[in-house]
Amino acid sequence: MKLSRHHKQEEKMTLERIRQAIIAGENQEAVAIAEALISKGIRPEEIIIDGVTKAMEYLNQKCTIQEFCLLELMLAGRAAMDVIDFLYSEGMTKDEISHDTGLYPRKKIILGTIKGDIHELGKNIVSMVLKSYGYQVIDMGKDVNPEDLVMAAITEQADIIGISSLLTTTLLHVRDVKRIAADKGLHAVKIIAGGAALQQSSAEFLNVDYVADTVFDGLQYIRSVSS
Amino acid sequence: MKSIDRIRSTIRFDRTDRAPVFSHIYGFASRLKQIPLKDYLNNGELMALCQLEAWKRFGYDGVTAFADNSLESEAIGSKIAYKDDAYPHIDEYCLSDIRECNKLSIPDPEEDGRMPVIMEACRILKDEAGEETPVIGTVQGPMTLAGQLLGIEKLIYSVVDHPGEFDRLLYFTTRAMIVFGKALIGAGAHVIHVFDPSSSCSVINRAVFNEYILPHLKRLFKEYKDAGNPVCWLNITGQTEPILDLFPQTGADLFNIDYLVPISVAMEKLPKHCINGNIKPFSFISDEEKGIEREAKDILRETQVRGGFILSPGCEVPLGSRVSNIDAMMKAVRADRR
Repeated sequence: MKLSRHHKQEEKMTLERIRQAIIAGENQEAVAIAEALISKGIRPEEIIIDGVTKAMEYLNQKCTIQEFCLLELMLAGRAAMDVIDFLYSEGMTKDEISHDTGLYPRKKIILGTIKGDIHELGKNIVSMVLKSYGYQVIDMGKDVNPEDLVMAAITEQADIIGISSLLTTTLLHVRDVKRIAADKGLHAVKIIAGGAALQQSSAEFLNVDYVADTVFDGLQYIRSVSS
Repeated sequence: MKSIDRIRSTIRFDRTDRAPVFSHIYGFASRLKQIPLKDYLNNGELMALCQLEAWKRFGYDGVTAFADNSLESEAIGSKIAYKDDAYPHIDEYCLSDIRECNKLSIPDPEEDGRMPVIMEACRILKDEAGEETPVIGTVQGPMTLAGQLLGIEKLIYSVVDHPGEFDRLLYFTTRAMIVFGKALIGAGAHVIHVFDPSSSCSVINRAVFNEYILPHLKRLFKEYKDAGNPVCWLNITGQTEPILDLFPQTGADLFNIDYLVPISVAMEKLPKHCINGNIKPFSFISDEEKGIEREAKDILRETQVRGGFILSPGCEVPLGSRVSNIDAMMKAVRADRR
């Protein structure tokens, strides 16, 4: 009994260490702790729920539009993704992660930088954060036709289309996505826009369902429509 | 009062007839003349012509020799993809690994890439309008140019993975921009506008700015001051609130405030330095004239007692802006009395 309590406490401390390593962006240390946890018999989904997701939850609280720093988020995101990739390499499947996090319903998200723009950094960060929360992300890349986003949503039976753009010259393409979705009979899919240019605008102006100020603002919206 | 005197007086916190306006109108000037953007970005004479016409049309307080954020990177060796009516982007960065940055050469502003286009535009603007209004020469800031040479994603990771090489690359980009800025001063620029959005706290944090970026900005502005005492304008768009108090250490005279930072906060943190800002750029596309006029008037009212203020959008006026919204900004400033 004593041993078991000690073991639990040690496990809790190690999960706390993996959270801290991810928050600090120490990717190699985070993976080393994950390896140690696996060797002690900790289940991968526990590492995801109590390590990776909780670390991202901390950043979620910290990152408002006033206090959003790409550097810190990218380093933490890289550490989180390295841990997840390590768990995949240990034989865990993407579906297990999606199912077993449990906290969040299984949703598919189509992501892309819209036609006319090749800036992918913001979209890549959104992808990292959503994956670390257990969402399934289909990344369509950059300079993506609105029609291709919609077709991917139909094929993949996705719940959400995420559009990213740094430029104001892409507005017409952003506005097209919802119209094309409606023309194809896809009424249930929610469309979110974000990025330096788009976040200055409104959902009404862009003809989307939501405009996210930050990746975590977008995440809150996805959670609200997922529940 | 001539524009050039209005700007100089405002920088010194002296009284003026009204607040000056820096329009942040760049490629948008080509739209007014219905000239393809690609032609504007590749022809110094056309660029100057469009800038002069826009200046005469609206009556703001400066003309600018500036093409796009890829220009310096292209002159150093990156490959650029052009579009007819959108800004070009970098197709292939000249650096694939930050550890190779010692192989880069400083570009010659009279020879390399499209730098001569900017030099020509600057000379024409000086000849045609330089007695009346400030000629603004724009260069990329050290961090932003580094991102344009390597890719911003790799650059950000290099802050922690290769800090020595990161600093060496910033040293190179600063040297390159010292050469370009000095050439622009020689060509008649009254104002050197250092555009460094990648140094904002939307991208890096205060610690990185303080340790890595600030020393290079100090060096940059000191060199400009020594080369002819132009007005030194630092423009870090995005979120800058956590680093505003460090700005005076750069040695610049004027600081751009983007729409994300309340002007009241900027006034509090920079009580003795001239600032410009901060109408939301997207409003020039999406708002009605009354909305822009109201926003401009609110900012002018807030800054009236303090002085040391130039009205402007927070960042570039977008290409798709409505002409009537620029008129609305100017209408608000014409009613201003300092």
